[in-house]
Amino acid sequence: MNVMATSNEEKTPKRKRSRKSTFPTFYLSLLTILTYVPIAVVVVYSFNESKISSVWDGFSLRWYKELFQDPAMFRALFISILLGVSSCLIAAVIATLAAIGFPKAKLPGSKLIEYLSSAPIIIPEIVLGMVFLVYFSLLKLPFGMTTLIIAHTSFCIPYIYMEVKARLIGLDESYYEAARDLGASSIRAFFDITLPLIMPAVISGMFLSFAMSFDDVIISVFVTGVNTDTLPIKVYTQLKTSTTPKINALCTLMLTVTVFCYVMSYVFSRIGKRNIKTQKEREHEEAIRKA
Amino acid sequence: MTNEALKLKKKSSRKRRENKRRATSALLVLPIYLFTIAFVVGPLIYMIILSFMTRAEVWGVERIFTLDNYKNIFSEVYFGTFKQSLKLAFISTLAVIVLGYPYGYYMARTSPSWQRRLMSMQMIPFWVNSLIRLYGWIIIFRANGLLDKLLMAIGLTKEPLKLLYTYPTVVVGMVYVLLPFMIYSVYGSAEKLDWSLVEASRDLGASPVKAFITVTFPLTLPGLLTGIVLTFIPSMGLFFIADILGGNKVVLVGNLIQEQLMKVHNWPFAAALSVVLMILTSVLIYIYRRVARVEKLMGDGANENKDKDKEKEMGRGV
Amino acid sequence: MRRTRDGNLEDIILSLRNLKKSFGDTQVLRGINLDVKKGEFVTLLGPSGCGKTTVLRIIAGLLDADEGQVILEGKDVTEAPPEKRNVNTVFQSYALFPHMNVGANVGYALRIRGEKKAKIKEEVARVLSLVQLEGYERRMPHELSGGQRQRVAIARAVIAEPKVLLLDEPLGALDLQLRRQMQIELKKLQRTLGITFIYITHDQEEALNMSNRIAVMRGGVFEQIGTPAEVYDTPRTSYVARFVGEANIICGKVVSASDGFVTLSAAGGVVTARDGGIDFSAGDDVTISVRRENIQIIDEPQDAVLRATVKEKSFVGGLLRINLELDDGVEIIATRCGIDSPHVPGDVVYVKFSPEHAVAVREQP
Repeated sequence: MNVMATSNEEKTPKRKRSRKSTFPTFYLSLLTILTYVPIAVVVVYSFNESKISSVWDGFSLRWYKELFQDPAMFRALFISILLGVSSCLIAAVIATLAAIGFPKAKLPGSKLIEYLSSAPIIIPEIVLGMVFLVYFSLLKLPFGMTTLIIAHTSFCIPYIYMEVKARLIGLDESYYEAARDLGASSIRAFFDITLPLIMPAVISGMFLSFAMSFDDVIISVFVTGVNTDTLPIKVYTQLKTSTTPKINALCTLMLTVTVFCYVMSYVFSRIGKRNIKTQKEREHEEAIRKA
Repeated sequence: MTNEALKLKKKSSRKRRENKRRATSALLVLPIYLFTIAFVVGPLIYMIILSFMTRAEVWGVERIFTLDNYKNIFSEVYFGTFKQSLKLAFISTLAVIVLGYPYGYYMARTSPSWQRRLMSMQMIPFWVNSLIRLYGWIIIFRANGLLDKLLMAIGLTKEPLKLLYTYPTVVVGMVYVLLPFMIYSVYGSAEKLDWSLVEASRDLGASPVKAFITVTFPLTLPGLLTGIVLTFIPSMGLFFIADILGGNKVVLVGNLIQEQLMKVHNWPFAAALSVVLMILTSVLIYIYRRVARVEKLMGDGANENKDKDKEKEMGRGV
Repeated sequence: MRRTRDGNLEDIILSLRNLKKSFGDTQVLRGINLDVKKGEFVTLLGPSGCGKTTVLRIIAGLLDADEGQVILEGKDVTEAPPEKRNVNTVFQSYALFPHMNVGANVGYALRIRGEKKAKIKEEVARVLSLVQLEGYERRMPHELSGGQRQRVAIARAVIAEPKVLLLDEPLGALDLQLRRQMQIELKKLQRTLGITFIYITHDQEEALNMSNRIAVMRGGVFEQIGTPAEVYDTPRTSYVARFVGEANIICGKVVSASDGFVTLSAAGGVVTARDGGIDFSAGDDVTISVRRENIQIIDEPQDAVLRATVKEKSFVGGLLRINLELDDGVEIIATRCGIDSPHVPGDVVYVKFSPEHAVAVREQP
């Protein structure tokens, strides 16, 4: 490698890329597009007139109409929504109280319980499903809505807990103190100040857990009862047998709901972030001021 | 009251107030304590106990302690399933590395606004239920499906390829679902890379390839390792991909557990399988924690919260 | 009502008795004692970390002292929670509730007390005009500038007419110009409202400007409590002397002492200073404090002078500053108006000050 060659090489990465920039761009685009292909396929074919997925017969809303006329689908939708809402509400209460209480109550084993409560999202889903199945049998619980709600709540809790905890950590405790100072009892200060300020995090977590619950199939399959099919279970059973584009329509609708929930979750996690300064930021500002 | 008595009275009333505060806070965590013990700890303990019990003749479980379940796991048949799972995990991970590393690397080299866009674009499909995404692959791969149509139209093949329910299809499905983990990890590492180091090595006379090998690759290694571990952990549990895309041909641990539980009704055995699977997963998580710690030492701690957020979102996307 | 040390049956509105507080292994407060009169403007002055905020939080009830009492209007409130004390705080970070507008923030204390909406609205308007923020009720805290936020914080804290108002370095975040302006405004406000102010700052200029009395704090105790003039002219310790105003500290040995003055030999010369209330005997070690502006520099030796060499001249803070070194190596600084002086570094001169301008100080409180 002689010196001449080196001096001819472009020095900055930007210019170096202009010669080969086509490959990275091509590669990134290709893979990104490929990620969307399966989803696009499902969505597009939900509008396909023909019953056979590979034959395009023209645009049609036929399958959506069929979907809306199917009582079994509505029942499944109802169950999914009821399940999702119940689980994320119960989880929200438990998780929010816990996030507030843990730092204050110096109980033994709180770290352990904290860890264990997030186990449901770390354990592989089949194991969790299996574990719930045998355990609920042992307890002789009725398989159906009850068991579904318990199981779903267990994995909703960690999501909400983590969000609320993070929000609480960044929350300046001076706000609460100022309220107490001005005459509010601890309960009043909590409801007037703390709760409104962490509410966006609670809501964000709830949207996230609803999406998780709405989408869940493996655990639901294990703990559901005879007549309680959630939407994903319906999709799953259909996939293994025969499929009509009606399933495409269902999938399209489902994914609209979940994407909506994720977007809302993100939106809410951003609300009020400007009010919450972390200790680091405050110290940083202090340092600048003193300098 | 004497001074001493006054002091003691103060101390005791202060203690009382503190205890009252503690008690109220304890009330706040009571629900989560109860719930976790009842519905997380309880089931897990029961599972472990169950794995040591014997299956009863017709239905249910007999409380006879036995190590048979675990012994059976190591028998030819069943151990083979574990080997299959590991093999599939291994192959998938390899494919994910090959496809994902360049993506993460190139992504880190684009402008910051593109980085954010690409990140969001990668995230959105991830949010979609994996069943739906897999269904899309079924449509593509099935006989006379989209892929067949495409190939026949170009003229590469004359007959429909029976791609569905084959091993490669399963791998494609696995890779598709696992890719974001690798991309995210590699990107995380590559983004923190100090490009001036690469420039310096080029300046000193290294060819692009050499610069990559000596500078870029070692520095992005933590990201790669994290990605490998993050890919491996879920891949052990993704039995339903094999279920849907592979039919009955590909049997993984997950499928086995399901079968034993639902069809054969051998609960103790299913429990034992689950325990082993969990142990494997825990080992992998432990390795991940170690690797992540190394990466943090090398990287920037300020990104920690961002990482945690993304980790959380990716945690259950599968 | 209690008797103060000088025997007056004053209206003591707040008493701190022997407050002690430790955080882990560190003892932050080692015995804080203070009597605050009604309507007074008392400043707790000290460097960062000396425990001033801790004292404030204990008074407010946001923190429990390990030992000691807080007595408000004759009642022991040591055990009372913050909401039961009629004491309000202006926090250093202002702590304006981000999800409420200015009106809701300011009116919060009244809302808690169950006042009617119309009355609250009226009071909020009144208080906002006091801090010159009329019509700001609908604004949100994040829309305001630092100075405006601070005034809202003050308005919020005074609306319920607390007995004592605690202010934790409220002007720290403001720029110099605004700070000077706000000092005047705060002082005016205090006089208008007649509320007792307890103010924290590390800026001695601020303390000297605004306070009726200053409590200089160090190492968990008050080294001196007195009026600005007392603290400035008669510092009790060398620390107070150095912290408040810029003083020169000279050590020597007592030659004689009488009539409130002490004569000492130091740095090769003999000088006289006020004895600061200390009993001296000949031969004792003594430390005196002389303010920089009181150091005169002359060319010919006289009776009570110290010989010194000019080290440096500079123009700092609007004053000419001359660094000198005494014969015993101690450095002192003289300041005066003007841009220049005839002396140059290296000159040997004589330093002189009148006995009234110097005072003996203790090393320890």
